[in-house]
Amino acid sequence: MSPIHVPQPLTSFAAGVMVHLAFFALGVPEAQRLRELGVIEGNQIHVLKNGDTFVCCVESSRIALRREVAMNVFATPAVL
Amino acid sequence: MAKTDVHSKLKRVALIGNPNVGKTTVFNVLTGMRQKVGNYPGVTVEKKTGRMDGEVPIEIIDLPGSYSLSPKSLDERIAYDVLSGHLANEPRPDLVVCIVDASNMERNLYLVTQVLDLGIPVIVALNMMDAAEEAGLSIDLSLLSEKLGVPVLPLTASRNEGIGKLKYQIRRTDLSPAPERMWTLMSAVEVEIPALMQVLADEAPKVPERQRFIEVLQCLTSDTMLDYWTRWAPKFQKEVQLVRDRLLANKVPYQQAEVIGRYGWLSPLVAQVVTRKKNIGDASVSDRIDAVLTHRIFGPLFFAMILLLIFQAVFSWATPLMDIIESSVIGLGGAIRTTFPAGMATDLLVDGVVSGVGNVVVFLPQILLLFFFLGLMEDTGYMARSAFIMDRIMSRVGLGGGSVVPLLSSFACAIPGIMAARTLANPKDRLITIMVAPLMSCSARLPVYTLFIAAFLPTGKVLGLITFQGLAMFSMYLLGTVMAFVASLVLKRIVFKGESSFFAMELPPYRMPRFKQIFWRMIDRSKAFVIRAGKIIFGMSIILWGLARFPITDPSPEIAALRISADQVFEQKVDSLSTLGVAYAAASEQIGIEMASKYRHIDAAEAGFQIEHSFIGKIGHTLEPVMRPLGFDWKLSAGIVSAFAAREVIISALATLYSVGDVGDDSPLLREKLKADTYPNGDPVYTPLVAVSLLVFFVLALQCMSTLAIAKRETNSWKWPAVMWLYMTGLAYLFSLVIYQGGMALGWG
Repeated sequence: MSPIHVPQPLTSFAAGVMVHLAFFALGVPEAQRLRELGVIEGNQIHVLKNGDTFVCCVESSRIALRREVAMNVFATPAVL
Repeated sequence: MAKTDVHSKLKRVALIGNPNVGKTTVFNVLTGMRQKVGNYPGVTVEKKTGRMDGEVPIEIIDLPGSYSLSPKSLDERIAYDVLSGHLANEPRPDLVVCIVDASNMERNLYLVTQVLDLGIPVIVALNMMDAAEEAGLSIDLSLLSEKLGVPVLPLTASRNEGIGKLKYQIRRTDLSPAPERMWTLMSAVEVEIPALMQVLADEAPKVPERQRFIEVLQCLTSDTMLDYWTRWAPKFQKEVQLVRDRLLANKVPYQQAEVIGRYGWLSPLVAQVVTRKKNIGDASVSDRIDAVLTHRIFGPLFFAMILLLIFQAVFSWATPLMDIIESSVIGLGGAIRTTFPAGMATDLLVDGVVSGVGNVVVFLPQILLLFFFLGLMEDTGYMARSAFIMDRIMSRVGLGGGSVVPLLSSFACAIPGIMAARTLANPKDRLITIMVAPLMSCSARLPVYTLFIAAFLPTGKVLGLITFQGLAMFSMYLLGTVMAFVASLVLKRIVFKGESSFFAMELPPYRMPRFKQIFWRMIDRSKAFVIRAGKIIFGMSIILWGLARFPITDPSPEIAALRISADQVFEQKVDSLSTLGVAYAAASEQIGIEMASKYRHIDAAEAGFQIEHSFIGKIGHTLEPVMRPLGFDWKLSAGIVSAFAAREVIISALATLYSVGDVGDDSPLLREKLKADTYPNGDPVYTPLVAVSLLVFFVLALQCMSTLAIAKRETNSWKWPAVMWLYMTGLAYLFSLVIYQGGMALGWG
């Protein structure tokens, strides 16, 4: 198994997984909003819920994303 | 002289922080109950200020919760405008206290670094230290203070811990401005900054030297800020535009330069300062509650139950209070009439002023209850979940979850609903929400629905369960809501096409409601509503009174003859009394009762004649040809015009037109009069079909001066209120036309 992962959309990770944020395929203002919420490229986030809606844990806060938004945020599994 | 100096030097301290960091709690502890809520000039964003007592009182300003100073929502724009001194009559604060959630440092400190760049003295208060400790975080406060170059204080405001030290720091007079910027932008952008700062300094020398950098940066990354300078420093604005174009041509992602730069400095800093003892991401209490409340099936179910409860409260619990207010208004009017001599001034006082004020105050119980429930949802953290649960459904009609609360509030009244829309970050979403909010059936439509449904629709039950009238009432609400969704879809598709809406929000931890805070917020908001809407409704009531009262017309010969004959009868009867002797008292009472009812009838006929020939009657007659195709005669047309002040005014207007005296929506007298009214050819004016046509007209038409006024304030132009009025009234006309003409064609008339 290669340790190098290709970034995948957030929606492809199961709940409970820790991921490493790679890049956003979003418009500038949208990406800016995410970063202000603490969802920043390079940070690790914890996937809490991945279904109709998407919830993740950033530091100690919970951020909810519309599924379409989560699909455009790319991440790799975090190396623990 | 010395005295005024002290006064003008009242220290101004601004509180700023992310949403849900306990900023309001800090504000309350610092100021006690010495608070005041107003508005920032030109916008309806709440301006909360308070006094911190002491030898020298200090003014504390509570700024709206913001994630950053780069303006996205109206709230954030205000935060930046206040801190940068962009607002007229709002000098820059002397000190900024940044409230930071200790358990979420990196994101919270982002805002702090922006505030530092303003060059004002700054204190950082790390709030919710208890929660941070529970989460297993340990924070090196002195290291953080050293790195940021400003005082850092630990705080647990909810338990009053650390407040004394914070107050002490706020009182200090020797605080120096925040240190110079310690982070850098990507070099391609950084090299452009000094020249732009120089242009700004030349053209707008009033901007403090230390503030120039952040002004340049804001202008570079935000279009709103760029627009701001078009007026104040056009050369600077042009220069920034040139730099933007150049950076774009060189493929420099300049709009992201700020975020990258700030986080690039912050992330290692936070890593140094914060040590984690425990694994984060363990399921907290909030997560366990969320497992149920945001569950894909139970979540919406629970939300529906909450809605039902709020509706129940707003529509039935408020009724007894509203009845009391209504009867006191009528009682007050009566008392004034008996105390003061009859005449124009008394009429103005009773029919204009008192009933005008009454029209506003009568909504207060509903407004208070609605604000109480909204406050409860906000304070417990459930509000964010409701937006989250509804987002999926709302996104299908072109809106986001954030529009749920504004639209729900509009069931009580469109005004607080439209105001609630200002928390939406996406301006397009906000505008669409404002545009469709008045389609939700507000409480002012309720009395109109009640009167016409009770009078003209059959009683009976559907399937032996629900009354036909109840179903009709429900249909009115449903029609309004469905049309609001259709309208937002159309607006999204046609007016704002190509805009994808976006939903990302924080779900704050649940907490126990703090009733004292909810109570005061409810009072503050209701007060603001009464003052804002009250002025307009009050003014309109007086204008309408004038329109119905003038020009003064002599009663028709028939009515005049009635009065003369009544006077004669009265005189005869009084004369005959003198022969009675002992039975005098009983007989005179009998005559009194008889004549009073006769005179009431004549008074009412005179009032009816007067109003038919008044301006409003003339307007009704003029409009009749346009309104006839909908089934409305001149009286209804006049009623609809008068309903423009406030919808429920149509009932008192119809009562005057039908010469019935004081009535409520369930007045049997008015109902009977309406039913008995006929056209000259003998056809009834009101048929069930006319009633349905009128009901639908009221569901869809925008007959509310106050809504237009508030929409003007919130959108800052008359364009959107005009579009709103045209499309809603057009829709109302079209629907009523189709219903009435269709019904007639089918032979239901």
